[in-house]
Amino acid sequence: MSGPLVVIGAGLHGLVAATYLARAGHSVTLLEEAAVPGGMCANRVPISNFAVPPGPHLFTALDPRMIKDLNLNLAFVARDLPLVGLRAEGQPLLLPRDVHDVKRHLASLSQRDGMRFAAFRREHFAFARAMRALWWEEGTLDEPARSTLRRMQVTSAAAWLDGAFESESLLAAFSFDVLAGGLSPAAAGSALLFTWRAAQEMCGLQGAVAIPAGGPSQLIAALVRTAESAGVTLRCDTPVRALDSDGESVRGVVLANGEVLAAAAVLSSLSRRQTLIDFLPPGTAGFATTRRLAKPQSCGEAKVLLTLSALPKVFEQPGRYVIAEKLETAAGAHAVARTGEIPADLALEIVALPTGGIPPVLLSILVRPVPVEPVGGWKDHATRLVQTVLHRLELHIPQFTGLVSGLAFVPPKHRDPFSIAAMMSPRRTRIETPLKRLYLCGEAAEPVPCLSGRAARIAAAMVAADLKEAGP
Amino acid sequence: MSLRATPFHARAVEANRLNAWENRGGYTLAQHYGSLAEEVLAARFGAVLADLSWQWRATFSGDAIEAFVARAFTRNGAALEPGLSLEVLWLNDAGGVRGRGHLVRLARDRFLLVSPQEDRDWLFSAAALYGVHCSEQSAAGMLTLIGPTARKILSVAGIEAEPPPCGLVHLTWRGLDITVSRLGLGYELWCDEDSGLIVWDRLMAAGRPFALLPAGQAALETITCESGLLYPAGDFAPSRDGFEAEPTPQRLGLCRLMDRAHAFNGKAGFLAAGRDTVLSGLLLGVETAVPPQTLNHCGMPIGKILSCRYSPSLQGMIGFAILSGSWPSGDIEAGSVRCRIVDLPFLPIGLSPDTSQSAAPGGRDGTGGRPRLT
Repeated sequence: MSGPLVVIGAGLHGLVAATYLARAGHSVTLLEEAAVPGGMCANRVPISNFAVPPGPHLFTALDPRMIKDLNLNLAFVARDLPLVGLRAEGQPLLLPRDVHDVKRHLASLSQRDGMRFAAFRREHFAFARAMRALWWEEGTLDEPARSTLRRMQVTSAAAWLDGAFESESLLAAFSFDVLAGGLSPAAAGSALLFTWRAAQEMCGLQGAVAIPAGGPSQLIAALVRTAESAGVTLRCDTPVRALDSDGESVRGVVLANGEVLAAAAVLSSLSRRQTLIDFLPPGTAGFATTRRLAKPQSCGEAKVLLTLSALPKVFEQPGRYVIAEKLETAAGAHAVARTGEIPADLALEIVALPTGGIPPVLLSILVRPVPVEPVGGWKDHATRLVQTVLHRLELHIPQFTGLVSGLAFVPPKHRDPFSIAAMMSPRRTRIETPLKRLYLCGEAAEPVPCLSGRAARIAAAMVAADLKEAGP
Repeated sequence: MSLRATPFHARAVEANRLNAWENRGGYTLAQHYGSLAEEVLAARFGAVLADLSWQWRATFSGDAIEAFVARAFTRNGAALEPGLSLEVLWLNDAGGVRGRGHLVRLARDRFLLVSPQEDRDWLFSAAALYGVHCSEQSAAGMLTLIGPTARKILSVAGIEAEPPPCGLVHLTWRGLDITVSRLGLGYELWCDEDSGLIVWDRLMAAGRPFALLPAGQAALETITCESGLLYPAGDFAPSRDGFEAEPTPQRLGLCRLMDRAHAFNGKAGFLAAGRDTVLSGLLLGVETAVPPQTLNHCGMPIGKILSCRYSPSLQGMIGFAILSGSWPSGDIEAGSVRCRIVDLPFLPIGLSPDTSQSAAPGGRDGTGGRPRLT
């Protein structure tokens, strides 16, 4: 067997990659900067009497094969959550998985949309299934899928959905999803982000979303147990200072305390920028790559957490609630966010979670689009953003502010610049780096940044194969 | 677009009888001074003086200069002694050739790059990663004196200092601070913008007994091609993207400019681009230019034509070909055109007329025109 391997970052992806490699017989050291593993899934945001993770509360992309391979035996509080569009006037628009139900709910808004929804979803899911071959397998696309891909590459999400449906409430309900990836919904190719979402599979259902029982931290706890039983050496409170490189390949990592860990291969679950720019001498990753990564993504999503003394009636049905003005204003909001200002037309995704304690309800609210680095910094803007969110909720839920007993704010995460071109590149190009023996296995290796574990599983298999090919 | 004038423009205007001009690097330059053939032949048998001030020149200096030049260029300039130069390429991240030029070490912490094509954005932003200071030097005048009598002309003019091959010397020449180098086909003389006309006049006066002629850019291109030098823009389109893997050094037959012993930008892409190729000369049996296309021998592809042009010295079309692996002797075809492969250079500069004749079709080394593979 080859020499020891090092995985940087004990978040979901790092744990998955380390476990797969350890199970393949490698000696793996998993390094975590924080005191506890988990990354974005670790409970480290205090609110009221709890601590919650800074990352998402629901999962759209957990890799089913990873869950099965690692025997995680996950339980879910809710699976296949419907999308619920909260409307300023009238009943919320419920979009469950059953297209007949969707048709019924849409009937009051638009007969035409009701008729078209089933065909739209069928075609969309079929294309999304085909795209899996490009994103996660070594396969190739058949000609119909290739033809659709060519069209989607140059189609904006806003134009595509606007051409498909006429109901403003339905389009507004999609506003949150089209702002994924920090991309403008008016940008060419943004329609593909929708496809990426549909290509995910949760609980055996394509395009579904689910909330794990006990929250994301339970998933991490299960992964830590699995990793440790596989023989992974987990070292928390161990920040990495640099990668030990000769300019062409990586030989190990240099820890902040000066210790050097030699490694046959290094896998990083951190961002591409952190891995290739912060940990390596200037220019080592390539001049163009360095330049591309120098400017992080300008737009992202912030998280507002609210604890409530009671569950508002509107959230009684489990669902993924979206509050957005109009699809057509989403592009304008994105443009405002890019300038470093907080846009007025924010799209909110709200999930209500029972806490099992006091206060009894936690509202996890993702807010898009917001500037990653607003003018003047988040210190000035966080309060304003929370006030805007509360105001928006107050419009839909009278007396809502009176229910709030605690709040917390999580600013947007710095991410690598996202490009549609990356969604078209083969999986190997996302996982490999310009340096030999250095691989990415985290969000940066996904077609669209997400917590899925899929990129980590694939990266681990790729590394194991490369090491085997290289020989002892 | 307004074109700039080089420091020698006033003299070029006087000599340019047919008013034939061209734009190169944003400068107005004489395309020829009356007869392209006359100028090319003068470079073979006497000497010509040509304006190279359009070439892009940039200096790089700073504490981390060695790390920068080692990474940025395909040959390790950090190993150079001051006053010497290397011919280098620079590649993008995927191994595509962005440029070719001469890297001159001016001092321990200062380098100069001379290139036929500007790549300011790429190199300056790369230098910024290392905290290396960059500045353009393109305002200064640069003349080249090419031909068998070039050395004699310099001596008559009072320049006895002889720079080493691929090197340069700074000197004071009758009150003017100039630099003389041997980076290209002949001698290059570098001077201040204000001294340009004086330098031109002194050289022309010294060259009069040797029938020194001013040469335009067309003649310079032809001489360069005859000398077997392949340059960006004229002979190939360099990559202008950071991640495009074309053109590779292999596709241009420039593998000899790659130093595999050190890590440079784009090395992984270069190594992944396949085995080395050979840049070779091609004599074409037509009188008009042939577009880039595949070369065949008995119907089997053996390489590609890069570019071609008419050579007044050889009285025929010559071109560059990229050949992969071995190939059989005898005629090959580019479409319907019959061609013959020969060694590069077609005609080495400075050879006497007797010697140069042996490079005519058929080859000068008795191998039936086959290039050396070493």
